Amino acid sequence: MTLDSMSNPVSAPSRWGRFLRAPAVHFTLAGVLLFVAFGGRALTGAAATARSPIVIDADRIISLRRDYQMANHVRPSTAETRALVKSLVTEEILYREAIGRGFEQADRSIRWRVVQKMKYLGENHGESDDALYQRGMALGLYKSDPVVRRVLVEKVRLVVARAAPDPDEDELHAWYEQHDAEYRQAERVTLRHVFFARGSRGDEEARTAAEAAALLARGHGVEIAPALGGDPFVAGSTLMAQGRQDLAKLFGPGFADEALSLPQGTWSGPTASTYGFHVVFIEERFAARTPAFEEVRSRVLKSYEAAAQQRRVEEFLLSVRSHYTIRIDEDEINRGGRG
Amino acid sequence: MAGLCGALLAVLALSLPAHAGSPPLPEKDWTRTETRADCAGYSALKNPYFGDMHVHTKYSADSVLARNRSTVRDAYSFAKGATIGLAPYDAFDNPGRLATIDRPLDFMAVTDHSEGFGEAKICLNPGYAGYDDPICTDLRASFNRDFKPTNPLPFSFIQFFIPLNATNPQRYDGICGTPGWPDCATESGLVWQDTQDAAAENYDLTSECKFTTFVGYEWSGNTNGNNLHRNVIFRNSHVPALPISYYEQWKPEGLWAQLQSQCIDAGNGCDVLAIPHNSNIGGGQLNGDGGMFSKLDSDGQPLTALEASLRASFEPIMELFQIKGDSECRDGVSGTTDELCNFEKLSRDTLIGTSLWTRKFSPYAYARGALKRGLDLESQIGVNPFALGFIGGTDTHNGVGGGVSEIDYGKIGFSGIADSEPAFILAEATPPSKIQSNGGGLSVVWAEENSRDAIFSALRRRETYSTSGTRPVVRSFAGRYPSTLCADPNFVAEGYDKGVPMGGDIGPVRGKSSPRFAILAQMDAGTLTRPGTPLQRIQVVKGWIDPASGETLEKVYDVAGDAKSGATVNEASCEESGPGNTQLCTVWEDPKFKPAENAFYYVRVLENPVCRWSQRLCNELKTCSVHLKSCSKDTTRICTTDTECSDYDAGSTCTVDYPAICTRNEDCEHLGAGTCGVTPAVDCSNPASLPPGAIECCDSHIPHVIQERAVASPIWYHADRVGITKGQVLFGKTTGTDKLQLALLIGRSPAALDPKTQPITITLSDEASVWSVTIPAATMQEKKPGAVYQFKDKTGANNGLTDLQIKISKGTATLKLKAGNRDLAGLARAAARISVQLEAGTDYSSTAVNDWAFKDPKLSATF
Repeated sequence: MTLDSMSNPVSAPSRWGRFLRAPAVHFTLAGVLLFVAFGGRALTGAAATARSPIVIDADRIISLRRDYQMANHVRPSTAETRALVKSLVTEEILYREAIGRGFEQADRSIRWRVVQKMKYLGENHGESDDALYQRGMALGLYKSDPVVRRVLVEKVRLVVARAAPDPDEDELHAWYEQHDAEYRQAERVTLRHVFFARGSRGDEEARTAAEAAALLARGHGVEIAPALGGDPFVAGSTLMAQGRQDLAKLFGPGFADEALSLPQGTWSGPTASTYGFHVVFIEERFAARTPAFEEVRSRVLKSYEAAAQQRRVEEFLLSVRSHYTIRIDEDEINRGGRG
Repeated sequence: MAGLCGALLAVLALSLPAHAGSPPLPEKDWTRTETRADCAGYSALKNPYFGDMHVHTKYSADSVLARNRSTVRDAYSFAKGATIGLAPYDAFDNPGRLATIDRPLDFMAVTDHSEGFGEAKICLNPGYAGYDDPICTDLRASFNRDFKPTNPLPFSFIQFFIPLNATNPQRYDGICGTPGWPDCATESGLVWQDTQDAAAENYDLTSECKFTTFVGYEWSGNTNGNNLHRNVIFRNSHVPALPISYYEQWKPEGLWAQLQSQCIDAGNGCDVLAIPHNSNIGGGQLNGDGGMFSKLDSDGQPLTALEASLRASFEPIMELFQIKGDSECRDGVSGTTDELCNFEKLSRDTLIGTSLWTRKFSPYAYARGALKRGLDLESQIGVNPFALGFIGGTDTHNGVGGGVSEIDYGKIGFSGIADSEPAFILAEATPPSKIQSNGGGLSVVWAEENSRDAIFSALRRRETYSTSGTRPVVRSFAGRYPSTLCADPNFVAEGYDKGVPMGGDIGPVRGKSSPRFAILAQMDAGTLTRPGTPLQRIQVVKGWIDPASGETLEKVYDVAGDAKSGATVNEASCEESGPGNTQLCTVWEDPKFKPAENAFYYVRVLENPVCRWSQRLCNELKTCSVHLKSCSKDTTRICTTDTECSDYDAGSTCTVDYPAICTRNEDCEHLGAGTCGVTPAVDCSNPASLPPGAIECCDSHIPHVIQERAVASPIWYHADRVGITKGQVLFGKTTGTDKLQLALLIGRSPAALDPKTQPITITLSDEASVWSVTIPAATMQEKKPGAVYQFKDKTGANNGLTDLQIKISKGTATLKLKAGNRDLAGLARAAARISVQLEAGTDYSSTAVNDWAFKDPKLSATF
């Protein structure tokens, strides 16, 4: 199967249609197929060791430093240089793994690049692009080409990251339980309040009026509220399912903490806010809770997958790294950093 | 103590206001278009939600070129409270700076520039041949090389964005591939999909409704250098396959047409708004031709009614305030004298134009002028294209939506390494104008719940306000309120029940008297470490059109608080002092109200003065312990060897002492300039002492002190609506002897109110119609041509109607009606809400709703 044939999934059921038309899917699917076709595992044994060692010599280190300095207008430190070298080694390994799997074949970007290169080199003798491509590949034009290199490295990364079956439900449940804090819902209250503004009455009078209202309210239910008077409050007198953050936004941070600790089903207060004093009736309390797995399943799946992708690349690198001989000019790294 | 309380209780009990319960709750104007849990916080009286509808991430070309690495997901994390990194990044990918929002947002949209979706990825990331296109190569190299904010923009940078200034813009073949730019389309699709995925992942679908995301993008039309940018915001997850960018549709009319066909008409629940921003740098002529609020269309033709209604339907709100300045008003432009407009103004009138403070700026580049022009156009073509509500936003290119604090902005900046250091952000440079920029604003919406449908609907009905970054909570209503509403704890419910909220439309609801404006504002609640700033005053800004001359006028009223309260701030310490208000409330009437004049009224709430971000930063500046050198011919160019200078300017040498400015050791260390000193570096009384990077601290055009503010969407008064000045039902002693009297008013008589050619129908209803009469066309006697019409019939054969007079004088129509011997028992003998509908032919229909009082045997209302 080639990339071109992938782009016309004519027989796909309709609910897959949109999914299959997404370009990201083509790219990944094509990669997964290649990955599977070429073994789905690291190149091992002879295939790897037969290759030449990965050499990061002084010249390459100097050029790394120069690039970095251009981008950041400071010279990289020794430690930073070492980090730059490490990512170069990673890139080289990924590139070689890509070549080892034949990822350079049937890639639209690489095909275009090779054709362009053939034309640029004056190798165009009136042949079709197809023919140019075949000849360019045979000449090995894709080798040591920076664009092809970037394409391949990125491709291997994506393929490794995404080439895994859907996680089973147990794995997802475990993930959900480990990351319970991410989904946790805060404690909330629905409250009715009668407000005495310090703005219009002055601080003392507002407090006194609120205390009087609290006395009057004592022993009554929420229905006494209209008889307690009070001033207009911008967000209204009944606030539904408010968490700490919501209360802090409307009343100020001090009030939020106090209001959450008031008893339910009775008038309390007065409680001070940024704006005055409030006689408060907690109508309903919602304990902090973790939503059931099903409520947040799609979020769990996404965060699981994001973490898994990163892990898969790291594991892959770990598994193939030992098959390469790596030589780095440590002296050059240690030479002339900024600290 | 008990005695005192007892006494108070007695006083309180006696003085308890007799509130006859709460009025009925308003009905919601939207239905759900998505599958999600209902929100536990749902309130029919609405909650204020704070958000930012204008956020860029590394998917925006100009952001990623400034080395910003924040992703869409980072941006959402930041808005929810997570700390994220900011450029510059070191070789370990560690960020050089960190940012945390002081208070999480309730909602946010990421709005990356759709035009560079593909191009930026291709230029900067592996994968396509376009990476090695000369524009991309130069772009990377030139942006890396010798970065200084005061340098002119690299040519390749300009080249990259040049098509966005062109009419009929074309993508670059070399970057996007041929034919038809397939690579840019592919990459755009990936970016667009990821933007949607990230929005879906971060949208809280549980009943907690903690955070709402919107899928959006920025249409970055910059025709001929004029910033005509719009943020395109979708209501739900149904969006077009690819964003409609400037390359697809370079005219706003084309954008709306495509949004119509690809979204509204898609029939899948897709709904969309376009939100213009930075009209302040939208260019245009002084007479307002061109620019964001032009009276001409993109082809230079006068706006038609059709174009005006298309615009009004897609663009009901504008972004009033953001990092690149305030677009509310400008003091000194034609028609505006309002010194409070001297707030976050730019010295440019286009995105990358020349800085010139003395320029003549166009009034139509600001909301004030646009709203007035809207009234003007409405009087000419019958449709107001600029009936604009207000929101605020950041336009951050660091992915830090809602990171608006004056305290933080000097460290966070607008975009990556372009302003990551004190000397960079304090520079006078373009774009954006660093020292002239600010932390940006917030959008506040009044919505029933924190969900996409609820917030989107609030945006559409303009029940929104813009803030300059702080969080005062503001309600404004217009309607038929008692003057004592500020003493009524049911203020909010009454506000909805007897009038309309911000963004709404009203007629002469109190007859010839001004509608009452009920305004309630609460200061920013602040946080434990950063308390909010008290309110100084509330203003109402009125704009109106004189129907006789056609002239549009404006006036600003102080309606609550005190301009001369004495509240002040010490510029050196930034300590605030003096009185302020935690809450302000007022019921205001327009002293110059004329029922015949179309008008808008918007509320502006001002906080006490505080230090501007730049003042805070300048106060904090020190110099690095080791002085560097700079070039003799460009003293802001840091150097170590003469060649570094002579390469740029022949004969320039590396000889000038350069004290670098800093606020922390890192600012010095990375320049190799030692550590950050302790002596303040800025003393504006001694300009010669200023380090080169701090010169703008003492620029007289840059205010040291600002008044943060909230500006609420206007309420429009429509003179062509009907109001009643008197209504009375006198219930007779026996059935069939009830009498009705009505006096109606239309501030500005519509053409359709012509009894010669149109039938006139008047209908009285409470919950159902209880009385109605139609006078056929040409039945009324024309007593004075075109001015006075009369109908008299003692028999009352037509539904009891005995007298009807219509008088049109100076454009205002009054109708007086009497009917007798009717059975109006359909009306309860009790206070009631009565609607009076007036219809003239098929073109005019308007309804006046009032609360009539009952005093046996009369049910009546008078204004």
